[in-house]
Amino acid sequence: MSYKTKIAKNKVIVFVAVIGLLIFLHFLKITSPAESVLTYIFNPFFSGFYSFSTSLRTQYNEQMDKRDLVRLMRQMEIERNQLMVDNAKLKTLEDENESLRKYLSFFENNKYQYVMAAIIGQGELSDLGQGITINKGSVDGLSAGLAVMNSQGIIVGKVAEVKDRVSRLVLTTNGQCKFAAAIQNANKTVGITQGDLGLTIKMDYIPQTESIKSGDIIVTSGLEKGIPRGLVIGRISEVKQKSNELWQTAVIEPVINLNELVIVSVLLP
Amino acid sequence: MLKKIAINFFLVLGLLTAQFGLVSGLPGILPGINLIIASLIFTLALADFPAAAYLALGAGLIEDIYSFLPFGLHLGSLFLTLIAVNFLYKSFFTNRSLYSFAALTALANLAYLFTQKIIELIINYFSGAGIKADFSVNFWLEAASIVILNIILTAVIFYIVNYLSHRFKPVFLVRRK
Repeated sequence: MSYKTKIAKNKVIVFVAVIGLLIFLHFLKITSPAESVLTYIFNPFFSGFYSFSTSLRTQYNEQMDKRDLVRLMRQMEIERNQLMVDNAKLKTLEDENESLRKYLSFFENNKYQYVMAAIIGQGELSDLGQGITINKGSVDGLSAGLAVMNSQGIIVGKVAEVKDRVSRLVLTTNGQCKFAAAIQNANKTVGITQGDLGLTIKMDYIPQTESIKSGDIIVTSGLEKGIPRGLVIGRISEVKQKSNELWQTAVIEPVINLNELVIVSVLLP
Repeated sequence: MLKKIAINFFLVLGLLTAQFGLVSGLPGILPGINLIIASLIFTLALADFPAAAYLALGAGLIEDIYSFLPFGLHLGSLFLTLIAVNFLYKSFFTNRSLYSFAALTALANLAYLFTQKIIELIINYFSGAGIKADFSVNFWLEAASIVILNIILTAVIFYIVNYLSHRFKPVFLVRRK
């Protein structure tokens, strides 16, 4: 073996030893403080660049979606008219409710405890499939299973895994994300929603006897620990039913574009 | 030494910010771009093996800190990829042409993808999760798109480096009569 090859081999051995040592120290948790410092330094850079790439992605999607714009506008017009009617009805109900509350001294308590977090990256080869990483972790009180909302209070996903200063979320459209949910129909049908191929959400095993239709809103049922009822998950876009089957399936589409998220809030129990 | 560490730190910071913060959020198939592998190949060609190894060490460490896969997976797969690329670069693709770099990029990306898969399988097997391997059509299509994207990236970097320096330009020895 030549002298040069011997030196090169020695260098490789040194680097392998360093990698082995780093892995060993990580599992002994000796490197935890250093890892925390590194994430503290890197997080602002990642979140800054992520919001820039999100704006690029949004612009790209907008260009691609222009074809559907006319169809969407017509649909929105019909929906807007329907909403105006609904809004008028709700206004009357709100006034009525207001006065009833005064009589009963009943105060609405919807002040949830939450932690705001910025998205710092997305995607990784993992069993969890596509997920997003946020800049808050266990030191901020986060744990796996907590619900994640956008700024309007619409459910966007769940916390899947946490580290000290970062956490990994799975979006509602991810197969790993399940919610105890209820359909806002006459019977308030309850069930479990699950992401489907990263595109839509589905709700299986709904008895054929339940009356559900496209446009019904799906909300959290409150049957899940730490997740209050009434938070919007999505809207039914299609109902799959066959006369020879016991169950029907609802295909749900998120009411917001999950690709445009930059800041989210995690609901604390 | 301190200067070397500082340069490596800022290089890793810039690279990972671009990779994790910017590239991962891009639309379509663009998140398949792997700036780290491209940097490793060019560091190997423009500097030497230890410089590329320091870069692999830094980038792999930060990737593992942010990753929710078993710790060491990125460190291990990046370093193994670097060893494979170094061997190919020293033994086969020695002429520093665009074709050599394109071939190196394709092989490096495939090596990185497969080493990651294999290490993940081994870790899952020993942690009791069993052997779960996804080698469906989608996986191969994704691998192909990653390879093509990164070859384009390498070509762009190659021409930039070629424009700025003479390191990759061919040298001819002319015999004088």
